[in-house]
Amino acid sequence: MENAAFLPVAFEVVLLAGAMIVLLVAVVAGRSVKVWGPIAGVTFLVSAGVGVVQWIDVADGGGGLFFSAQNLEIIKSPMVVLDGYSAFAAVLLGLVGFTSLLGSWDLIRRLGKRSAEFVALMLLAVAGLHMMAASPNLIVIFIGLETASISFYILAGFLRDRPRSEESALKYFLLGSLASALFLYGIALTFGATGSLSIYGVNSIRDFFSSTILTEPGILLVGMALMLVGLFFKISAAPFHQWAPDVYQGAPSGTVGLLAAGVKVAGFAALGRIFIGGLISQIDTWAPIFAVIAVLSMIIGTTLALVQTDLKRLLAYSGVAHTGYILAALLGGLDGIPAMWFYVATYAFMVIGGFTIVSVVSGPGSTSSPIESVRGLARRSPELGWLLAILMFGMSGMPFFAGFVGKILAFVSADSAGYLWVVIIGTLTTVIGFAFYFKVVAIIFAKEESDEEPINVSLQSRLAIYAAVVVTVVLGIYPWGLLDIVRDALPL
Amino acid sequence: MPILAILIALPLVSALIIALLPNRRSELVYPVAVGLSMMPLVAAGYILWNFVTGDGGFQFTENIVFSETIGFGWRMGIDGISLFMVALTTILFPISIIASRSVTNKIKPYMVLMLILEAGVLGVFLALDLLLFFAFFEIVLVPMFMLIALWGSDNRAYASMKFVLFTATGSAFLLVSIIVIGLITGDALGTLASFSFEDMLGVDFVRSTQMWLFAGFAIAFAIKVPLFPFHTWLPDAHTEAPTAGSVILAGVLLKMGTYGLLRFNLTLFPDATVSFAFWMALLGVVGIVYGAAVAIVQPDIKRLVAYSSVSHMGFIVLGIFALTTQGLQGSVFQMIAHGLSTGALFLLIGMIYVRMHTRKIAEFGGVAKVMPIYAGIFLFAAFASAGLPGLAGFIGEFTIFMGAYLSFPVLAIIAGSGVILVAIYLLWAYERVFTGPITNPKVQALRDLNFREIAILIPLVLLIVGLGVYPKPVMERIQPSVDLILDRITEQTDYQVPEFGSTGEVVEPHYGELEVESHEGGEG
Amino acid sequence: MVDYLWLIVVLPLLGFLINILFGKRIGEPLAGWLGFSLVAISWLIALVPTLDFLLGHANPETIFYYSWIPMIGADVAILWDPLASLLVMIVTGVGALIHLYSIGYMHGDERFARFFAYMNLFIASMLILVLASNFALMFVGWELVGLSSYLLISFWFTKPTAAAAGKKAFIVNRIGDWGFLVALMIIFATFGTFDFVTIFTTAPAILTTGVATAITLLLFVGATGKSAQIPLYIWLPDAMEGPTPVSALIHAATMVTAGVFMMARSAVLFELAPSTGIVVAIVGASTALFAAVIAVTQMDIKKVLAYSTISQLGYMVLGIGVGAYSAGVFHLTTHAFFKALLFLGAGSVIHAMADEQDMRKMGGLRKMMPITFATMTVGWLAISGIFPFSGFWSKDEILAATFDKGGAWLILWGIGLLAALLTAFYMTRLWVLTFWGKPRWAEGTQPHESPWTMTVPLIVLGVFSLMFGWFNTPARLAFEHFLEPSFALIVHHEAPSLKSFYVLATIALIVAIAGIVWGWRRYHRTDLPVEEGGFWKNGLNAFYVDEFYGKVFVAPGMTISEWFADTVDPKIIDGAATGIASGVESFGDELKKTQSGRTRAYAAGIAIGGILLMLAFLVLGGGL
Repeated sequence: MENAAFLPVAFEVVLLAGAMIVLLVAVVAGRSVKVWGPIAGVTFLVSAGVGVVQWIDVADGGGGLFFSAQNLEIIKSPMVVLDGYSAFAAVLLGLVGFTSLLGSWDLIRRLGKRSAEFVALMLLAVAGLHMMAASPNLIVIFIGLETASISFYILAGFLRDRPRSEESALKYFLLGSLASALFLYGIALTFGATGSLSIYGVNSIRDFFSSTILTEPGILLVGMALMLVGLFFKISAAPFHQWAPDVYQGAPSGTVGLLAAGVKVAGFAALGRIFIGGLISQIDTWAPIFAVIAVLSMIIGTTLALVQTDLKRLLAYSGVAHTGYILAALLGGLDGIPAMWFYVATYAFMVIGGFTIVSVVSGPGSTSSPIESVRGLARRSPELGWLLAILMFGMSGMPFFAGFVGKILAFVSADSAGYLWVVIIGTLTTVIGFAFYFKVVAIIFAKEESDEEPINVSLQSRLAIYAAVVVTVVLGIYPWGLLDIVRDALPL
Repeated sequence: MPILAILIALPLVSALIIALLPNRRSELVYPVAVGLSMMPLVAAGYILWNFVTGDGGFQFTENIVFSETIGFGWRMGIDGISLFMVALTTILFPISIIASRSVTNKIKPYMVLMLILEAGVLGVFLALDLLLFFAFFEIVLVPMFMLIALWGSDNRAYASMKFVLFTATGSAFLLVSIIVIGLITGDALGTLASFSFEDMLGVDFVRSTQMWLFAGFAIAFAIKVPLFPFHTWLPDAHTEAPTAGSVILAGVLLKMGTYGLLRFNLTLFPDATVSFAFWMALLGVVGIVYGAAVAIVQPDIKRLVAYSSVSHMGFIVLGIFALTTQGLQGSVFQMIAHGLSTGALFLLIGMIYVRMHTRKIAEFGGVAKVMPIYAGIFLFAAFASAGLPGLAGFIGEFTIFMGAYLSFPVLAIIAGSGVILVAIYLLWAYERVFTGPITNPKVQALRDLNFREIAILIPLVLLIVGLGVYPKPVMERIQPSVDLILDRITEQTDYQVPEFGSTGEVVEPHYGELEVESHEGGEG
Repeated sequence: MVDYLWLIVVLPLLGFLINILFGKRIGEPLAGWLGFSLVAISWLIALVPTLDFLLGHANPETIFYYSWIPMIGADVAILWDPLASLLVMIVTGVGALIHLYSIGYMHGDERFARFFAYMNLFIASMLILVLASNFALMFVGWELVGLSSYLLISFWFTKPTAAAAGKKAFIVNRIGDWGFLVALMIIFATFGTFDFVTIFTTAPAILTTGVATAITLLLFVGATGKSAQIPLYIWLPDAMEGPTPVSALIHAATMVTAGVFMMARSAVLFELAPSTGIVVAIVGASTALFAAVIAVTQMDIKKVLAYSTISQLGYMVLGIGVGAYSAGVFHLTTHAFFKALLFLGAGSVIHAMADEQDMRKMGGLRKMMPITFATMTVGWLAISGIFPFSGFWSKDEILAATFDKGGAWLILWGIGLLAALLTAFYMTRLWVLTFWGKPRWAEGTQPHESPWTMTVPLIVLGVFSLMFGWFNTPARLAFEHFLEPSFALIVHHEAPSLKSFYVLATIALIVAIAGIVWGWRRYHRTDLPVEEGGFWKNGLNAFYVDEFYGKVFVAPGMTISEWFADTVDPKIIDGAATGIASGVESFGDELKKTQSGRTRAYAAGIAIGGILLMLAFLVLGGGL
């Protein structure tokens, strides 16, 4: 295979280049505050375009494994994989990055000079996130994860003047590093058990299982467990979710969108890559655990969201619940991948839209936003009111909204794998979900006279929100286009 | 011409048009909405006109498969049962839209939601793909929730949420059952899943599976009907909902439950149906008596009618699970009749509410003196809902009784007491509201109905009388479809439709001059 | 062929529609004349075919119009036979007269037109009832007369008592209808049709005595409702709240006899259930006596007549019970004439006395209103059963038939006689208190004879009350022969021999005269007997049967309803549902406590979770 290929890493390269440019421009022309955002935006779009090119290339059979380090005997493994899976992740992450950039625009504008670092970090984070999806090598996946995480630690605490923001950043950092450490240790143990860090290729983990029968599974099992701890933490699956509400609430509203959406996309991408790409043979071992975690996430997520008084926390917990539903999709093994992609993709946009509205209503720098802040929103700004209502219906899993399609796919996948009980609990927790999503809607349209002056929404935020709503509605009514795509977005 | 797709699209397009009306010209919304709401009626008329009588199967079928793998598609069809559900829907919606003159704030979203609601309801009655059916069944919650939550009265927040949570809980079981049955069907067909109703008819499900699936479907529909003891959401929803909301809720939405039982439980799970029939019928009868008994002492007229709905829907469930052709036909007919009479009652209550801003029976009295026309029509609607012969309600109720007695004599006799109770609560309420001397000065000041109000009631009155005097056109379209369901049950199970009469079927009398025998004619 | 008979139903219906829609504009008196003439035309239309029966020119026939409820074989069709034609004659004939009367009586009422609309509606409904060719259609008429009676009783709805009375009448009737309805269920399940001819021809073949008894008893329950028999008679006295013409037409002449008619119609079935006959006869006889006793004590002239109606209906029911169907129907007919007459006369009196109904405030009216007096006298003699007035013939036929059965039936015959005695007595009481003695009017009342529209009907009815009986003397049973085709299917009873008839007739006559003499002597004097306290008080309050029902049925029923509405529904059923909801919420609140916000706690959580995860993997993967 041609190791010199550029395309497989083009996505990361573009983003890094973008980041560099932003920083350089910031250094040489300190005054040019206005251009950094646009540069980042363009970069994101280009990266998404690169993703499309990758997708086409894969469709023409150009996919495969790249950058095998020939000279190192121990780890004779490729570093980058280009397949439908990674290509789709590229497109998705590019667009997610772009949309969340729009969502953060108000914040960026008010950051002034410091916004250079801000957008640069966003670009870097997305680059890292994609590495988690696009590498067959556990170490590289880890590096990607860390690249992204560290950027997010900083982004979460970007408003140093806000104690809440600082606190949440620190909390995120400490817990995150703990999780990363456990993840890394898991990698080590897996390596110990299988003698490989690579998922594909010569004497990869897959080879190992196809050739040998594991005589001493203990190490591998613990390895898998620890890797899962790391990833479950990232996708905030119960009981590893507790950081999410605090961090979401503490972090400036303008940054939470990428934090919530991007990490979920990449986290699930990594899960799918490692456990379905690599450890599919062990599915009987890990699927039951996925099921339990899924159910836990559904129950804890919905019941806790039910009793929240802060919109950001509510969204955080609903995110936990959604993690549960997406995990249910993965129970179906390879057949679950399309469901996972569809769900995670639509959810990513919905959540960005949601947090953008929050940052519009209670300020991009705000570190908390009580549900009451949207009381009578429909009066102050009918447009925002209806948009938020649509997003709520979308997340609640109402038919003809994207959330419903994702749920159905997930449930079908889980049930076909024989996990009916997960489906039952899933549908019931969906009802609990209705309770709080509809409650928000009721509050939005509450008749109480709200004397606040009408809200003015910046073009960028409006774009971000509309992007989310369009995704929610269009993919809810006609999901077939995207479904055909994700059907091919499978790992090698 | 994909008339069914058009039928569902029309309200949506209308909603879009209204949504695009300039905000400054809000006075346009009402007339435009009224005009547009007539279009589905026209389409329904076209269907009614071209419907082939005597064919029990599905007509005007549309079948576009969207996804082979999960076996989901736009599968639509209409038979003798859904035909009249559609007709009822397309009649009641324009009426309740016209009746919404008094809605002033946010008239635009109000009309948009009404029309979306109509599309959803039509979808429920037409879908032949269970996933699609579920989608419509569930989406109806959103506009209805908004209607109650935005335009309801004081306790709207509680009522709307209660409405959503009760129904959604039912739908949760429905969804699980649908996914399971879809996968089973898929296995039978060698695909991942199939949600096509026709495909499912090809599969016969294991008895134990049938039991579970029947339960899953039945819970959802029982809550929607609502069948005792799942009815407690209804009174709250009704009392808080705006008039049009109540009309649609009682007139159409409740029918989605009985329709579901008829269309899916009976057809897909014949074994389970036969084993559960008595218990469902029993719940129906309990509902009849209980609902009526509770209605008697309701202080709020709207709540009273809500409970009367519980009672009347009990009749329908009894008729369905009597599993006789009389019972089934009676039930379908009763769905129409109840939709019309209760719709009329809620409209009338709305008309007095906008004048008095109260629904407390105690605050009225002697209204008939100042509002004779109103009183007359109200009494008419009351007797219509009390099943007075010559009016639509009687046909359904009477046939249900005859059909039910064949299967469950005791239940039928107990249900018969409903005819007493209904007279008690309706006439007593009428007495307290309309007769006697006028005590409340606000009543003294009441104006009688205006032209528009009379105009929207007249079609209902005419339909109620027409269907009561000459129900044959409806019956002969319903019959083949329900007989198909019944035949399927008798084929798939060892159930025998109870024999009746000397011959076992309806005896056709001979007419004309009678031969008069000698005095001993009797003894032979 | 008499296919045009549908007209006689549709014309009154038309009158109803016109008057209900445009009555206000048509106004008085035109609306009244419209109502009257339409009914009169119906009478004329029906007259000729009825005469055909009378002259034996025609056979009964069923005329099919259209199929109504196909799958239960209920059609809209007419069974045109002597019985039906007779009832049509009564309903339209007496009906027309009472319409005419009402034009005068309802003069000046603001809802004049509405009144005639309802009256026409009643006529149409009653005609549906009597003409129906099947039980289902008969049930329609059965319910619709109930409706029109409800509307007319509570015609003056601003009077709370009137409104309540109308409601009571309808609800009590509905209790009876329940029985009727169940009977119909059994009939349909047994015969698979509602068609009279089919049922009656096949019944002897396929009907077991048990089923026949069940059906007939349930039909009788229906009859007790409509025909005001024990225990469901309680609505009829209250029904007097309605305008007097209504009482005359509906609650004396026609509707209340529907039960009797229905049982006569189903004679075949009753023949097959002997034990039902006993029940019917006992109920009829005891109703006759009980109501007569109450009538004795009433002070309100209309109440007296109301109870007397109940008592007379008792005779008819007794007649059905002993299987003397034509006798029962005969009494139904004569009663229609003289009771309508009496009510209209009473109405004319009340009219004259400025709506005074208490007989204690009347007296000496015979000079002021001679026509009323004369006609009332005819009615009085007729109901008392004095030869040769119509009541004499019809009542005695029933008593004779009862006597004929011999054995324990003689007790019922005795009760019948006793009731006859009381009838003569209380009617004399009414007659004397109203027309004789010194005036005891409230001051300011100038009694006057009523206008011709009111007196003409009185005269016509008077003539019939006098002469109709001659139509069916034991010597010449023209009436029975006329009805024979209707009862062709049942075993014909031997008419009592003339000799025994003369004996019985004489006894009855003596009893009646005794009653009259007793009444005359007791009331035709200057110092009226004080009638209060003890028996009189109880009687005046109808022996507190209403109060009894109220305590035993209504009150408990309300308590149960309230318990359902206030406890079961909100607390138990809804409580369960909302309980789950709040349960979930409190569970959430509990979980919330784990969200301490302290990083160390979270780290611990992750650690524990990780350990559990490892254990789980080791267990599942068999690593241990």
